[in-house]
Amino acid sequence: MLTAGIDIGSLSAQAVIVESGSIKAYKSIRVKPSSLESAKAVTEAVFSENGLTFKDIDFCVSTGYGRDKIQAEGFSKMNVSEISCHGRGAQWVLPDVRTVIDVGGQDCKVIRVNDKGELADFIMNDKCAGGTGRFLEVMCDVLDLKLDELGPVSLSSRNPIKITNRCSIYSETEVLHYLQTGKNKADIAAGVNMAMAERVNALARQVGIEKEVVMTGGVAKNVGVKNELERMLGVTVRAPPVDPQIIGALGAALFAEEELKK
Amino acid sequence: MITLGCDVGSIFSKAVLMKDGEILSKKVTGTTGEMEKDIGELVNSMLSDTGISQNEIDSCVSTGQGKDRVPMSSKKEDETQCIARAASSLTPDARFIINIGGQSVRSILLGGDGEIIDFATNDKCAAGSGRFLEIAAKALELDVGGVDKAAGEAKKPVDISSQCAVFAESEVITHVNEGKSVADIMAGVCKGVAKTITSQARGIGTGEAFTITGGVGKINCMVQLICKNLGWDFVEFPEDPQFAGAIGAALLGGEKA
Repeated sequence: MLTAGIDIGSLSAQAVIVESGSIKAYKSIRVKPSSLESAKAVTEAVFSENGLTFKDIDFCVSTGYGRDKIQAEGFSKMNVSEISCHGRGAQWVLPDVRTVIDVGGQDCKVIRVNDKGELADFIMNDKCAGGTGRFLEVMCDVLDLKLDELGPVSLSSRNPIKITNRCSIYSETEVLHYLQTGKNKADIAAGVNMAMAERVNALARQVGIEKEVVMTGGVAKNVGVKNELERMLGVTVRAPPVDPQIIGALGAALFAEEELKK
Repeated sequence: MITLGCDVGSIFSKAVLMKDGEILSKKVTGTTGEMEKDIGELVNSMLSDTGISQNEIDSCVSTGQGKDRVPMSSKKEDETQCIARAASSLTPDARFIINIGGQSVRSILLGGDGEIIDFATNDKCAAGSGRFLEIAAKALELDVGGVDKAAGEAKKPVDISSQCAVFAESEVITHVNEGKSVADIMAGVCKGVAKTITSQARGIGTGEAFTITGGVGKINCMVQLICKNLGWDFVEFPEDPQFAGAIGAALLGGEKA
């Protein structure tokens, strides 16, 4: 039995194929201009790498941006909200998980789940780029760093520079000023990660934290943000044993499996 | 009495030289990291234009984000105070001011004597600010001066749903990719920004005659949109609206020196 989950984010798109309760294959790509094109590209990539075709998939569930459009075009048979998919996927890879902190390219969600991976409560910010992956992207542009360098670079900082602005646009000007005045790049990078963690922390506290806590989404790959968040929340923030970016698509593939069993 | 008003904003620095309440000279320059130098150059060029020497200046009041960075300043004043002072002199019929600068949006309610009764400020988030317009214009390869012309040619303004400037920039790019015209996108952005501004104004205003100041007040389509949204009586600021803060600073210097 093969099921697929497709998760279209604002910056990247993922597809996961689950075969009888285990992950068979997955793929992550940069998004295309439309959700539908992203869905096509990411599924074609994962299928061709694994010698599969669309016909081999028994059930496909879509989630993320344009999940309903993807279903309407016949790519998936069902669509499920990304909140539910992240909860489901995270609880599946780490059964003790009760809180999922998902920081994606254009939003941040804190999701509480029960022991079955069902949604208990959640909070989300998708109105302000502060506290989302976009904030880090904007900062990396100014710092002339690649997104995956921001975490490692920040670790060598001894005196993190506090970013006082909350707005990404104003923070951009602030960071530019620090660079112009000769401040250490590692110290600025550490300040950026702290600012990011601070926003996530504020959101998480509103909905409450229950152990175990896992962090998913692209920003989970930033070790600086993860360390800061652990310090602020006072709990261990676990990393999923799979790529943290595929949790939403994984959850979707698991919902597909459940549908087949009904 | 000769007074100087310096308004060091996030994007532009403005200076006004006044004699007994009349403007002798006014100048603007882009704000750089070296604000002391920016203002020094502005003032020197105003002095040489008017033939006035620096020691003839009776007072210098500084305002704006960089008010602490003006070496010759004899007094620092809050931006809201300066703007209110300028409007109470120049637009006595207006009881309400909307000031839209590079990095702030302000609504000020005035009493009958020009005193501030209430005000609201957003300088924490780029929503509604000149920066928002600048970012969108840049994504459309327009300069800020081209905003009016572009928006004026719009046939069917697009809908920009994000209030966040970063997300709105992505929306602008999506519209470009979908083949929408620059005019329709720019007009949509202006509509969105105007909506943010007027919702702040409605929070404290109740239909007073109003004026618009700040750099964004120079953009015609923004003024029109704000007027249309509010439906209140509009009193045009008789000087360049970008100089309101600096004018107010120079006027306050005349009173308190």
